[in-house]
Amino acid sequence: MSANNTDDALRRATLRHATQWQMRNASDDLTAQEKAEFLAWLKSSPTNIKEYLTNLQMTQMLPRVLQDVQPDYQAAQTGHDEASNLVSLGLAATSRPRPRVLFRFALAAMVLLAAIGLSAYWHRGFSDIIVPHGDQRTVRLNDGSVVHVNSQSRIRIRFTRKERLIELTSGQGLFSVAKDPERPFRVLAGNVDIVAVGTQFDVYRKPGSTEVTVVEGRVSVASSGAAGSSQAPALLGAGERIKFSQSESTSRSEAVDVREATAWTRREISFRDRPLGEVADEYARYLDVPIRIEDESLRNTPVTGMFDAYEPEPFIAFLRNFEGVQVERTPDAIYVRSRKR
Amino acid sequence: MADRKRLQELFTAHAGQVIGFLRRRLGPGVDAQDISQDVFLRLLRIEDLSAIRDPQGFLITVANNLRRERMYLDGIARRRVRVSLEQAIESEPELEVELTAEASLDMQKQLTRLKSAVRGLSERDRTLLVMRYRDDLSYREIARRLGWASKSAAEKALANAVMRCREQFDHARKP
Repeated sequence: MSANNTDDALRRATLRHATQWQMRNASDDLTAQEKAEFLAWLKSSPTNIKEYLTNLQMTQMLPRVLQDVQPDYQAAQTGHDEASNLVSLGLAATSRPRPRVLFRFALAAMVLLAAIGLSAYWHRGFSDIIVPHGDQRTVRLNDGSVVHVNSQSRIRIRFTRKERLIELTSGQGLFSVAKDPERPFRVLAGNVDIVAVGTQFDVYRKPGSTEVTVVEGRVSVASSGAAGSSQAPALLGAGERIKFSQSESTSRSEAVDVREATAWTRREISFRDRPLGEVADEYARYLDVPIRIEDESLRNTPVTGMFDAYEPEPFIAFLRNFEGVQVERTPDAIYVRSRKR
Repeated sequence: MADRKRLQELFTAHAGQVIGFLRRRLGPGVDAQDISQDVFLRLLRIEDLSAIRDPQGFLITVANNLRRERMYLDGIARRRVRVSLEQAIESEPELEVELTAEASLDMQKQLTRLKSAVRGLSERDRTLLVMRYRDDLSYREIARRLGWASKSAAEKALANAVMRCREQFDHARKP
């Protein structure tokens, strides 16, 4: 499933819930139970509120638009709901140009800005790009490729006539590779070796593991084990992720939500059914003060949501909202604990 | 003077209705995209949600209040250079008019988009929307007129119609 489809399916699911709730709220037999459920639904994500309000705005304008419309009761009576399966299955009725275009545009704008500051680097044979905590950077390389470098990351660019080599010393980068069959584009992340021709992929070097996610096209990924033994390179397609962990000798690829994997480039943190502890660690890369979750069972609680990476307030409020959770802020950290009974 | 008294009487007589109507409407210039984060935060701050008797009305009120707050702050920011705070407060009605004019231009654009969205719907969906949103019929009444067995059939059919309308609307909104 491509990034666009996943994104679409998610958005449509939210829209479906919003619409169903709107219809329910207009009914005269809304129960107290339903009222509570509706409020809980609103409280689970700002996106739900957005879809609901947008729906309200639209239906509010409908009377003016429908003024001169001749209703056809015959059609309404007998016509079947031709696309009710469409609603439940989440198949797109209309294909629309996706935000990818917008994303590209934003990327291009950032590149322009970064280029001004980084042009000095291009003239050298290799150069280091170090991005401090809380920052992000986009760099256009002289072959036309673009590297988006996340907070707390470091890359070294070493281009030769034969290959375009980039070392990811730490952190995370999203690589949009310009096509050049003569000169493969290679990213080295520790013992993980990724080769691409023209594609887009994300490499995330975590403390104990490295993840490679392909957004577009195909890449070949190889890893040399601790003993220097090399596995056969794995071929990865769009929407696939492979994880190399230090503790396990084998690696496996899985299908992932590409939009979630690249959320950081939009300065968002997006997570679906991910352990709270992992999400908090993710936040720590962007915030000045870390979020500390001291309770093991709390760390393992799965959460779903999408939030601004640089603005912790909505996320903290989201945490407070959980049953039995206590949030305490000190100048050094944000502590999340289970409330003692 | 007499006019004023009459107005007062009218208002008292219909206050319930008027307020009810306003409670069901989002004010002009509420940008759902823009405001949802803040609405979310306010919502989370409410200790006891079970006290809310009309959740949708409540949501709309929160959104409207935030919008008013923003308009006011926007206006102050825009005029800060020239006007003192007191003057800004005094001139707020005018300010509101100015901002509403801006909003109404946006509204015109949105109406055009919605018109083309409605045009793209099936005859059946369009008719359902007319019955519900123009003629203000209840689900029960819609089901009765179309000879459907239950009101929940009407509710379901409407949900599908609204959702398809939204998708066409969003589609038209994209450049």
